[in-house]
Amino acid sequence: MPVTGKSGFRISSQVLSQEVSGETVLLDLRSEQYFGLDPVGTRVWQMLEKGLDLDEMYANLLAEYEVSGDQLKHDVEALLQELIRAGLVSSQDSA
Amino acid sequence: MALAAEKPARLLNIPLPEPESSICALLRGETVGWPISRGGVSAEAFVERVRHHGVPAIVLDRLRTSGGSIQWPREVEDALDGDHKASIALDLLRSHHLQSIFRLFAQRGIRCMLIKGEALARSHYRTPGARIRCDSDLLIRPENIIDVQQLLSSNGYRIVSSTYKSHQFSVVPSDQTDVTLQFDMHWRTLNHPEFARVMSFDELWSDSVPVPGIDGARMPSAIDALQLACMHRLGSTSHDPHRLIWLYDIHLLATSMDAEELARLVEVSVSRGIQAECLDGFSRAATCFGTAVPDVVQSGLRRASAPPSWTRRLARTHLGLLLNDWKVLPDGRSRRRLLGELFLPSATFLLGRYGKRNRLWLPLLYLRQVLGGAAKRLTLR
Repeated sequence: MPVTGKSGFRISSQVLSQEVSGETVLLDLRSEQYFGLDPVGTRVWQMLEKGLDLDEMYANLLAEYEVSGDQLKHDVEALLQELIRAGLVSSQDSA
Repeated sequence: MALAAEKPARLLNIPLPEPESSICALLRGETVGWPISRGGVSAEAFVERVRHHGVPAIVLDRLRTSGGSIQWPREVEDALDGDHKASIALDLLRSHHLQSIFRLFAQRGIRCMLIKGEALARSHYRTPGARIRCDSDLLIRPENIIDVQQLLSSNGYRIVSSTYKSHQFSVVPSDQTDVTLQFDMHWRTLNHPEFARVMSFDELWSDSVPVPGIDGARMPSAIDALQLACMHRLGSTSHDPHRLIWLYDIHLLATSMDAEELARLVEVSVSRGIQAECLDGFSRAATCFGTAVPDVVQSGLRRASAPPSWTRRLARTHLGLLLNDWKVLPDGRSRRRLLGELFLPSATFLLGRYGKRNRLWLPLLYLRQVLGGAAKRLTLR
């Protein structure tokens, strides 16, 4: 399911996370699989925890990183799709 | 809090082999060139030694905070990073289960403490995941053994070991298919007869402190935890007493104590008759990590105890421990199970232990088990 600018997201209650040295480890309690997020992914996760929608994430990241809007959009959407596919996050489209 | 401002005397300096020497130098905060230039240690072999010593996360942290002054092969850092992330994930899962377990215990009024690495990971390490451990150690009273087993068995856990002969039983989540999590429920602090009765549950409980991050959980005080760490590393022939993570525990505990606590440590160590074990732990930690041990502490720990009474000497033998096990276990059923585990284990266990498949071997194996058990347990060693 494509994510849109006003897409909101909910982190699964079965996910535990810990940030360390700018990266994040995610644990899915259901599958007992774990995932790693690099510093940019960690920043996205922090914004997910705060309940920001996609447009808000883009705005924050563009202000924080020197990267083109298109590249950013592509990378963030890819990450979110992966998190959704893994069942760690669900999309709540409020368009 | 700070250690007494005395210049520590030079302790016995046992040279370390490579790569342990380089690992320790790194953890002392020194800038260390890649060890391969000093002894031909490959990156793979180096990582394996770091893993053996249980210090991947701590070494990684030091590499990353060196400000670029330490340049080691990328493959070393990547391997340690993988280990650290796995440890963090495992710790998240472990913490989740420990919280459930302590909640169950609280509902039933069962007192329990986290001990050893599981406790220290939460009290003395930057993050619990930095203190790698392969299981979680908890301490309960002997009279709570059956209640704990019934409670955990009816709440998603299963028992995967004997209960009495090693003074502990292990539980794992019921749906676990491989060894990821294991919770060892000890009813004595240590298994070795020399140390098993040095500290009772009630003694530890009376000075215990809350465990950060696990609601309702308690752990031994720093003094008790340090003594436990010193005894644990010497209490078994099946493990390496010079494993660096155990010495690092001692280092962190010792350096977190002020002069008053260190003085109290000496006093309690002498009264418990374990000052030699504590001195050995301090000495080794000083060699590896530069742990500052004030003169007054060293001289205090070198003090000889009064000669032990015959009852105390007996208490520290296999036979003495068995007699006391018999005494502290709450009922006849527990005592019968103790004897059964020691001298008459299951046929499956015996066949597996001696690598046999044919049940015709059993009479001979049982005879061997009984004689061997008697030779080990019914002695004044």
